[in-house]
Amino acid sequence: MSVRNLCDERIQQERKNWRKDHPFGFYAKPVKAADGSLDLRTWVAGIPGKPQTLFENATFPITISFSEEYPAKPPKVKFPAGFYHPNVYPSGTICLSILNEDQDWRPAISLKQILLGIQELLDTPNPKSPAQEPAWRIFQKDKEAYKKKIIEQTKKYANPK
Amino acid sequence: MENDIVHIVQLVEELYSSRDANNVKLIQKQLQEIQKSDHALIVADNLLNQESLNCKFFGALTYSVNLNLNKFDNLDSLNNITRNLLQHLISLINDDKIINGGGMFIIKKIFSNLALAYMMNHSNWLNPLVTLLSTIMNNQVTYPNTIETLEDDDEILKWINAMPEKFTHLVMLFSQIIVEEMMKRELPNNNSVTMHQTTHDYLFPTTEKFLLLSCQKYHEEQFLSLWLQCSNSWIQYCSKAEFDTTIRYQLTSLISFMISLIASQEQEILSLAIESVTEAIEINHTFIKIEQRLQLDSIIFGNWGLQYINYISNNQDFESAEKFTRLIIAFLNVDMLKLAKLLITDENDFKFEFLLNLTGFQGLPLEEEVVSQDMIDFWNEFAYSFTTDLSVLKSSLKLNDDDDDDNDDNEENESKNDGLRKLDLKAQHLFERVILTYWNKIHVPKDIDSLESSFRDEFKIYRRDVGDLIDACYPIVKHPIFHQLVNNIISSIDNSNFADIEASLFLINSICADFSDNSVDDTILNGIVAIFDSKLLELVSLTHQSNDKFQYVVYTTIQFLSSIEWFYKLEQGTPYLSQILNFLFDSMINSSSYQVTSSKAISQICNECRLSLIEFLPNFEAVITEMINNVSVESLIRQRIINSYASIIQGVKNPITQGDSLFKLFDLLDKRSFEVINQLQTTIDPEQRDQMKDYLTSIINCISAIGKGMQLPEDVEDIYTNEELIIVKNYWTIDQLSIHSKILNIIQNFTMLEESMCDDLSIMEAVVDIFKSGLTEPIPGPFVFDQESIILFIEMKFDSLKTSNSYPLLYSLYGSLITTCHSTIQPENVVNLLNKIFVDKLEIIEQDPDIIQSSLSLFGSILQSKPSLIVNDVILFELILSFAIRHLNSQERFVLKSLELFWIKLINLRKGSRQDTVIVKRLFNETQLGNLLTFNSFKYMFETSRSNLEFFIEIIKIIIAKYPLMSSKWLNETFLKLNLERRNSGLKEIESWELFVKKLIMSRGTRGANGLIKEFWLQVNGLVEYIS
Repeated sequence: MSVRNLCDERIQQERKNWRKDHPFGFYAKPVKAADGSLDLRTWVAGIPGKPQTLFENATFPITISFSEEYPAKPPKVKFPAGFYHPNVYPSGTICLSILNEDQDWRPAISLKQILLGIQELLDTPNPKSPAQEPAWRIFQKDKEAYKKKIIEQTKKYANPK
Repeated sequence: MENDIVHIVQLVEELYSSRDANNVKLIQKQLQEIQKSDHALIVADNLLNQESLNCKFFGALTYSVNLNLNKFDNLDSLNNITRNLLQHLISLINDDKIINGGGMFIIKKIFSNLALAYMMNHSNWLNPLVTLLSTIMNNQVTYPNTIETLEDDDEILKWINAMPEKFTHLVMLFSQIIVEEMMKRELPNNNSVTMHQTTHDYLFPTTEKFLLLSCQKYHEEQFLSLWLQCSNSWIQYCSKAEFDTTIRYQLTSLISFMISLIASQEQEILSLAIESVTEAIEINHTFIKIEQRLQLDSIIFGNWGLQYINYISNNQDFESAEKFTRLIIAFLNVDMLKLAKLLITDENDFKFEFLLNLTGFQGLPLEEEVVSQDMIDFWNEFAYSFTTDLSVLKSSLKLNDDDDDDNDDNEENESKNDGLRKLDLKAQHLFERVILTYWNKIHVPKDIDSLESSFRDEFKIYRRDVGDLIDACYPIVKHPIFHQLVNNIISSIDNSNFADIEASLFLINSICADFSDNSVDDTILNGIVAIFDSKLLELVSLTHQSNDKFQYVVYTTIQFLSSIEWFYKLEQGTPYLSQILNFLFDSMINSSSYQVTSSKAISQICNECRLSLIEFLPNFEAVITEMINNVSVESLIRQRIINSYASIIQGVKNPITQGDSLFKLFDLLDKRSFEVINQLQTTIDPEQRDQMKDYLTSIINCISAIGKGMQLPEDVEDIYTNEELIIVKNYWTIDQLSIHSKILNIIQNFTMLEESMCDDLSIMEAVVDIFKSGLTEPIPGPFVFDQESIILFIEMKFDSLKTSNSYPLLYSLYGSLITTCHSTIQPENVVNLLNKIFVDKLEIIEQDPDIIQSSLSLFGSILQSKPSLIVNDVILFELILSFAIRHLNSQERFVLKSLELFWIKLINLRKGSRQDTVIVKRLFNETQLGNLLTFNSFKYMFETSRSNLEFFIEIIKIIIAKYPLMSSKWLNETFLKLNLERRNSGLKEIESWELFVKKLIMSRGTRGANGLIKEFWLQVNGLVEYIS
């Protein structure tokens, strides 16, 4: 019988919880390895933009990587590289306090809470935690230009009609 | 007092009848004051004695307010209140107008108050149910109890038989309300444990016996409904009590009766029982012991279950179906492994048959039935038993190869293999049927457009969940299901059955999304080839022009073409590229609905197999012209397609062909943009001007997209042979068609002609990207410009810009240019340009942290590549140094990050010549630079926020590491000066800095210094570390 560690047990539990209860429009699942088996440590997920925001009618893809130390340490969550948002690093890594072990991460935080937190962050950037210069600069200086950029990006991830 | 009561009664009546919100607020305020007054309970008693239900309720409510205010901390007052409440209760339950006339809410409130009193007084009042029973039976307050333990069957039966049914309802209700109140309120820990213990020892046994014995007498719906509600509250409470304490409950008798009610003949009762048992399992499945599990199993999967399914199916009772499904899922989810084990024997096949039938419950998913949606989760979970948890399953069935290492018995191995084969086959067969059931369910309803948009959204998610299910099942079902889906498409094409084609393609998409050109096998490849050979695209193309009736099949086909990107890289895919691209172009051009998805698919295909697409370049030309000329095309789509086109042009090895295609493209872009720029100059209407500017921004972004598309995708030697390389280099060096000039001309038109565009940030971003796209290219190419052109552009822009918005972009461009061309760039040119774009603009720069940051990054790039470009010019260099010291007081994170890099690069001087090193060392050793940098670093570090601390730490570390001898002196001077400044400003002096300096010097600027400096920063700021 295979021996599972705490990390895998927790990921399995998160998976079950997610399937039983996940917010509308979101998806999250482990990726498949080349041999068809599931890679539980790497997930793909989609965050729908909140209605009545610049992000609505689109689903933004993210990858979630769980390290061996999960849940003691948070997973690493990334948008595609170059994602335009003040709190997303150029590599796509999301700068969010609940994803930072030195800040608000707690092992009890669920996948659902993480994804909802990211959805919230999309439309309410935190100017105090800048992660990329271009988006942060424009967000601070020129809200109209920022809005245009976001609308353009949202089109890229638009939901099929 | 009497007058007061009359007034209060009036107020209460008005409170519940007034529609004036302000008046209500005012009355509430007055009544709240009365409720909190010293004579509140006298008022409450008076109100409870009134005829009006409103007044009675307000009286009971006043008791609640006072109990919640914790006014009664002594036993006597609590006993008095309990007696008073019981007295009121007697009056209420003996009043038919109350019990039958809609006054139950008052009784409930009294019960809730008694529950509160019990919680406060549980160490003395052990069994409130006994109190209620004897009070009811004696029709007078029997408090305190003469007995506390009431568990004897005969005794309880005697009471049940003696009281009218309506009072048994009240007893159950009271017990229910007590546990609900206990769940709502948190008591201090010690009290909570004793309260749970008392409840377990006294209240529960009486309640349990009362429930079990009363249900022998009463079988009516109203009674059983209350019985189930009471039991459910107890299950919830017991679960909480078990969680909070070490107390354990035995609920088997109650749950057993609850389960037996499922098989009731009364639809209402069985429906309630189904909900209650489901809730019980979901709350805490450990309460359901093996006997109850068997009982439930025989009900669900026995005759009753079958008949029930038939009944709800025949009556199209979707609500009951949903409830029943929830019960089954909750029940089976408890032990999936056990269920999976059942598959190996044939005797349990009927159970799986039953589950399949349930999954296929008639009706449109979501709109009518939700059973199939609930079952998706179940099947997903079940599938994991055969994939992720397979080893656990095998082990529990003793089918593992390594189960009996000592036993080499061939017969046993053979039997294991047979067992495994059988399990695999049965699982495969079962999940094939699951998928086919869902294949039926995901068919898009013909009238979907007439259904609500919320249904369409939910149906989309439902289909996606089914897609995920097939993904989870695929390792079990493998090729046969793929074949079935492919065959279905082929056969459905003959009779144009679009609904079937769409459903099959949808599931194929889910399967294909996980393959890659390395992992896909021949069976799958042959299947895909068969789909393209089947004239699917031809058939779907015919629907493009039709109305939206066929939109789903078009979408799904486009999705299909996107999901098989690996197919295009393989030789089997090449012959189909033409028809695929034509299909996608048609979809994109003929209907705006498909533009986004089609352009994405085109972009994917072009990026994956640019070399195979060269012969299709002419096919693109018409599309490209349309994309450029048609103003209404979405910018994103225009850019995507042009980038795709450029990727294919890049794949052309013959530079002449490449140049010709590019020339045509740039010519088109040039002419069109020039035309619009001219129009813009004469257009006044702001809306029209905005549209034109958006279009122009998109066009300049297209040039940038071409630049990206034209970048070499691999190392030069992997693309060109030596001979080809010579031809390419020559071609682009000579640039016979003047393509470089063409691009520069376009840039000039965009940035110099029209005033409103000259300072436009988006346009400047695109232009900077255009220049940058060629900078990293190793050989000449269409976007590889000579450095003079770029420098000239930067210089001209700094001369003409009216705002400073674009400065950071231009600094970044110049930084990139120096990074790539530092070996050929002349120092005097750098100094000249920096004088123009930095020194002359210093006043503007100093006002904007973004420009400060970007100029510091530029200097960082120079120091990183070739420090001598600035180090040798004394005046300029000193100006830069004082700029970099001055801004250590910045609070901006990015400025501090650039400063950190600037100082680290300057002090390390990795790319510095010997002369550079001498100059910099002399500046540190022989001037005030080291001292100033140390002083300012510490000064502003102590003032900075915790999150910016890291930048200062790195600067301090590098000073100590590189100038160990001098740094001791600088540090001592720094702290003396800092303390002097603090003294003068009335601030507390920094203490123990001498020890800190010693430790810091000893750390030699290694990682150990990080903690040291951080600790000292906390100490100086009087803070503590908040992370343990």
